[in-house]
Order: sequence, then structure tokens, then C-alpha cells
Amino acid sequence: MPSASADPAYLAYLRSVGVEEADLQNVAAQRVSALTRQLARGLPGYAQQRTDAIAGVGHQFEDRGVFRSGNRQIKQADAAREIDRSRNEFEVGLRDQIAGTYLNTAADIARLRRGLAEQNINSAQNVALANANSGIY
Amino acid sequence: MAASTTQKEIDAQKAALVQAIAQQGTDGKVAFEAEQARRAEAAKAAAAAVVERSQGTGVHTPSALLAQIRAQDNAMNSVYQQDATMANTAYKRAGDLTTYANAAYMNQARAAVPVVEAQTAGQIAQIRAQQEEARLQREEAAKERAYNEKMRAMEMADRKAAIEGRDAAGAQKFLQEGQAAARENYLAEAYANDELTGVVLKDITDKAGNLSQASRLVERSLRDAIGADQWKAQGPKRRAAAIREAMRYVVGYYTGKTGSSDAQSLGYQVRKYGGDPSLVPGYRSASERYQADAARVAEARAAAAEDLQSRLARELSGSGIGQINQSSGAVSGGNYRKFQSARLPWRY
Repeated sequence: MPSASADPAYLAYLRSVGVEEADLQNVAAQRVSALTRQLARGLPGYAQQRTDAIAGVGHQFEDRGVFRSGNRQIKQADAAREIDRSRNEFEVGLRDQIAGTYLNTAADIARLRRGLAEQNINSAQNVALANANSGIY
Repeated sequence: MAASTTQKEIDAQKAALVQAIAQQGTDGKVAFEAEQARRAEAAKAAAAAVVERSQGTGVHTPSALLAQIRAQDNAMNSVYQQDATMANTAYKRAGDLTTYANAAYMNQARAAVPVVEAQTAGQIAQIRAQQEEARLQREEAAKERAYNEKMRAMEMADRKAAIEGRDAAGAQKFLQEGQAAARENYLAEAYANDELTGVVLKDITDKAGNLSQASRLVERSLRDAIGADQWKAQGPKRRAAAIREAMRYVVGYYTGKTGSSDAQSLGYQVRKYGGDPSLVPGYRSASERYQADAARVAEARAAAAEDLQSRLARELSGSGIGQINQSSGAVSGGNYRKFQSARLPWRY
């Protein structure tokens, strides 16, 4: 069969695939950018919360006159760990969203390119039959 | 078997597809690595922050306690590290599955190309067969048209010939009918002019088919009509005149032209249309005319000679010239000079 490039329908599909793929990548990049910026905005807050939690627990013990207490340090560590857990959950959530965005984009691009392959075969066949009907062999 | 054009194009499309999926996986992996780096950094800072805060307030952290805190931090971090590993693995697997599935799809599409090409070849063969059939039908139709055209031309030629033949036959018939009508009119005219001539002419034309036959019947028909005795009693001149008159009508009847009243001309007419001119009384053939002319010339010459002798004798007598011997022509006596000056007509 001749090349599908001789079929105007294939060339039109090729053009639309290029545009759609660019659109998909643009949307994905914007989404990833938004998530990354959300992460960047959130992390300093968690750091501040962690510092405040450690300090808060220390102040509570000091207000009661308890300075040299192992329990105080354990409670401070627990408070800091709780903030770390929240930060980790925040990060994991954003990570999973970013990963999902990339996977969806990959799947969408793959769908477009599978259609392009099908169009390639159909167009090659159409060109061959059109040529035959026109007396071109 | 060498790859077809379409298969090569699908190969290129497959490579581009796999690359596009891999690019998305790589981008996503960067996000994982960044998260992991941040987690490791935070883990290092976690216990240190508590220690620093305690030291800032003059609290010493026993090593056993610090180890306990770090152990608890690590336990929590390991959970998230495990989660990150699992997520990374799942993400990688998802990307790989997407790659494999699409690569397999492209392989199947590539494998379908020969089938499509075979199907297309069949359709093309069918199209060619239809085109060939159409071409043959066109040729056949053209041949049929040419044959019909030829037949039509032949029919037209036949029809034209038939029309022309009919027209010619009609013209012939018309001429014959016209001739018959003209002859009937001529016969009626002959009756009107002279009944005897009409009777004779009808008798002749009833028996004769042409002028040659008719010319030979003229005298007999006249004799039969008048009666043999009376015909004989009429004398040769009247018989000759009657024959010429009847012959004129015969000529007119068969030729459509007026018979000449002059015997010689009438004879020419009879001869021209196949008759015997000697049947025309008074007609003389060339040899007869020559003989007659020769005799007439001899006679004229003799008369002229006689006249000259007589005139000379008359001129000379009484003129004093002398006497002329009639037999020898010799002159004797008289005034010879006067004789010499005598003016005779030039023709003498």
C-alpha cells in the first residue's frame, strides 16, 4: 500500500493529534506546577508548626517548673512527630496527584497515537483504493 | 519479508509513542525523588530540633533518650519511606504497563497491516476486473455502434438506390406514358386533318413496332385503304405524293418531330431513325445525286457552248467583219479590226 501521507484525512488527523498532544502536555504541566507550588507554600508552614509545637511543649513544662525532665523531651518529640506526620501526608497527597497527572497524560497521549496508527492504516488503504479507482497502479 | 511502507510508518509511530510515555514517567519520577530528598532532610532535622530546643533551656538529653526519640522518628519515617517506595514502584509499573500495552497495540497494528494489504489487494484486483470489464463493454458497445452505423449507412444507400430506381422507373413510365399520349394525339390530329391519312397511319402503327417497319408498310397500307385499282389509277406522281405525305406522318408518329415536306430531307429523317430512305419517293441517294449533277453540268456546258457559237455568229453577221465558219469557227472577210475590238461579255 502507498504511504498514508497522500490522504488528506490522515494529514488532518496528524495535525489535530499534534495540537491535542500539546494541549494535554500544557494542561499537565500547569497542573504539576500548581501542585508543586502548593507544596512549596505548605512546607514552611509545617516547619513553623513543628518549631511552635516543640517550643509550646517546652513552655508548658517550664511553666510548671519542670526543666530537666526526660518526659518533657519525649513530649516535644511526639509533638514534632505529629507535625511531621501531617507534613508527610500533605507531601504524599501532592506526590500522588502529580504522579496521577503524568500517568493520565501518558494514557491520553497513547490514546491519540493509537488512533494515529489506525488512521495510518485506514488512510493507506483508502489511498490504495482511490488510486485503483482512478486508474493509478 | 521486507516491511511495507505502512509497517515502517507504524514502527516509527510506536517508537514515538513509547518515548512519549517514558517522558511522562521520567517527569513523574522527578517528583518522587524530590519528595524523598525532602523527607530525608526532615528526618535528619527532626531529633536535632528537639535536642537543640532542650539544650537551649539548659536541658541535657541523655543518649538513651535521644536514641529512643530517633527510633520513634525512624519508625514513622520508615512508614512513609515504605509508602514512597510502594508508590514509586506502582507508578513505575503503571508507566511500564502503559508502555507495554501500547507497544503491544502497535505491534498488533503492525501485524494487521499485511492482512489489510491483502484485503486491499483483493479489492484492487476486483476494481481492476471491473474496470477491465467496463473497458471491454465500452469496446463492445463501440463495435456495435460502428456495426449499426455501417448497417444504417448500407440501408440508407439501399433506400436511396430504391428511391432512385423508383424515380427512374417512374420517369421511364412517365416518358412512355407521355410518348403514348403524344402518339394518340398525333393520330387524332392525323384523323382530323385527313381521314384517309388517319386510317392509314393507324393501320401502319397497329402493325409496326418502329419506324423501320412502318416505313415498309406505307405503300401497301395506302393501297389497301384506297383499293388496288384506284391506287394504280392515280398515276405515279399522286402515288408518290401520297406516300410522302403518309411517310411524313409516320416519321412524326415515331419520332415526335415533324416530318419534312421535302423528299430529300424526309429521306434523311427516315434513314436517321433506322428506316430505308429509298422508300421515300423523290429521295435520291448520294450516287444518284452525283450522277444527276454530272449530267446537269454536262448539259449546261453543252448549252453554253451552243449559245456562244450562236452569239458570235449573230454579232459578226451584218458587222462587215466577215463570215464565220460554223463548223470550224474560222472567220473570213469583213472588218477584222472591228471584230478585234468587239467587247464580249467576260464570261465568254
